[in-house]
Amino acid sequence: MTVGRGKWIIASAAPFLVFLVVFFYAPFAYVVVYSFKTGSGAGLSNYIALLHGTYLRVLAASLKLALSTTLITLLLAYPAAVYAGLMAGVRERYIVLVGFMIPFWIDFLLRAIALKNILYILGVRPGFTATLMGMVYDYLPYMFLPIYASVSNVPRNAVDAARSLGASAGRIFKSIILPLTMPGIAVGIMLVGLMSLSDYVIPSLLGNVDTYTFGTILYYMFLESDQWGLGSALTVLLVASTMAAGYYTVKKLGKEALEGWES
Amino acid sequence: MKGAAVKLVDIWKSFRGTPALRGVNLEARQGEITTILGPSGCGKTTTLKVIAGLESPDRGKVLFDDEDVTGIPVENRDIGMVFQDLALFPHMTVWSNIAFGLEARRLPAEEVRRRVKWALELVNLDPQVYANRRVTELSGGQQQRVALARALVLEPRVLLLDEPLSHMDYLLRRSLLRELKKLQRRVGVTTIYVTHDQTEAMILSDWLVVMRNGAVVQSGTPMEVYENPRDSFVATFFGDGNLADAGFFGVDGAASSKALLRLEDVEVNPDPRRVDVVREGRIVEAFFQGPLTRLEIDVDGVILAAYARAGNGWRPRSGERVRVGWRLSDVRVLPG
Repeated sequence: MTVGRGKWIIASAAPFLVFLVVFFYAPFAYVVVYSFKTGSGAGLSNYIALLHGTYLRVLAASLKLALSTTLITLLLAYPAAVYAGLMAGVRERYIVLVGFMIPFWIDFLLRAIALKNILYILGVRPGFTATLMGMVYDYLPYMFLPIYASVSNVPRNAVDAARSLGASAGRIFKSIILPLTMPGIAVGIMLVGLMSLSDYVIPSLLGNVDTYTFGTILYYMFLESDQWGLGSALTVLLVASTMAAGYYTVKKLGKEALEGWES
Repeated sequence: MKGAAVKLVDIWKSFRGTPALRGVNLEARQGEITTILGPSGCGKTTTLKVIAGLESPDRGKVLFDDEDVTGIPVENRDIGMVFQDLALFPHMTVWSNIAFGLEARRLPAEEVRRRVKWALELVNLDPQVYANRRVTELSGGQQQRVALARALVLEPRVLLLDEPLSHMDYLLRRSLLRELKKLQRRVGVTTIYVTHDQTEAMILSDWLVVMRNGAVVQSGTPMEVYENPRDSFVATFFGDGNLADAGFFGVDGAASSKALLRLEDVEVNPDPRRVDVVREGRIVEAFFQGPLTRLEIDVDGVILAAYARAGNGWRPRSGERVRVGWRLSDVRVLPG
């Protein structure tokens, strides 16, 4: 289905675009300029300063946390989403969906604090494990929902059709279900990966010095130590790598997500 | 390709306590097209899934050539199926869709190539043109052909079709039906076709099975069922007809039983020597349908439908008074 690209369509998107320019692109351009500012003029000194071992360690910790979170949420959400979208009866589907959605209804911060207390009772002290659990808990729906949505790419009777053609369960998964849900996987990986990479709330509540993420260190640079030049440079790097990662993910996994299957 | 004779013996099936099939008995002869006709919810799709092995019956037996296949899962039952939504694999090309079942059987590449090509030609799709197209780029009729080729390429014992044309427009449906029938004649596979559309059933069937409320009401050749419907449901679901008390039609004896008079047996302004009964009536509605006009005629409070052939300058209009007549031998008193 293609929607006409008339002037009215563009006009209807204009308020959103104006909002984005005023509140995002213009300030962001300022941040880019700021990142090249040095004491006396312009230069790369802020970027060079980021190559210091402290920041590289933060980068490594942040990446480790984001990758672990993404992997665990994927492993938890994928089977549930495919089950709910493809195999479950109506009643079972609602049980799974509501089960995944209810945590969404409670405030993010409140959930993190509650989890901190629960983990404390269980003897899990702030650190990598606690932060990872907090992130998995909070980001699970962002992995689940896009995958669940992508299950609708699988035609209602495709699994039965494949069975009638003599395919084993393994073959049906590998050559029908997995490729058709790949767009959802790509979107889920992108969402959870990016959010956990720059999260501030969870590491500061559940983490310790080993779980400094980009989010925590940005908070420190901008709001506690007044190092705006350094903070801006880090922001630019973060956005650039995010864009690269997003581009790669879409290109590699989710080309279909943008094109769609519909005829 | 040689098909198997299919037989269902006393099939029962419930879903969450609600019975869907209540003792279905059915036979489909080898190499013929058997149509299962019925309104939605009558259990016809469930019956097809039981034959396919996609649903297992609570009770009863499925026989292919007298061999009990009830316990054999769909993967090994050697059937080909075309689904209502076609269920083509949207991320694959035409070629990969058709080759899917052959590759699942790990056949050598050369044989896969030969058979996919054969199947494409069978359904009148030029392999040169269509093999590498995405199935989502095809028209509805072309997708239909791919689904059929995918089901036939394995040379199954039984071909099962679940209302595969229900989403098509009228003209395309008609031409695909005729083509399907010719194709079936050529390959000779036993075919079972499920539909709620009596026209499809009339065009296709060698053998017709009418279902209602989870059971078979009547089966026979289309002509037998049309001419001798078992009850008023079959009479009006397969074919169009006038139902009234037998007495109204002038049949003596069972005056209060229901009787059927087909539309084509009602003559408008008849030659009195050719009919047994002549009555007066008034045209209530006239529906112009090209060569024929369908009339609804009020005869002493009973609305009779009839076809009038316009001719000699006569154009039937509502309000006009006409005579209608019929032969008593065309009136069928329905049992029960």
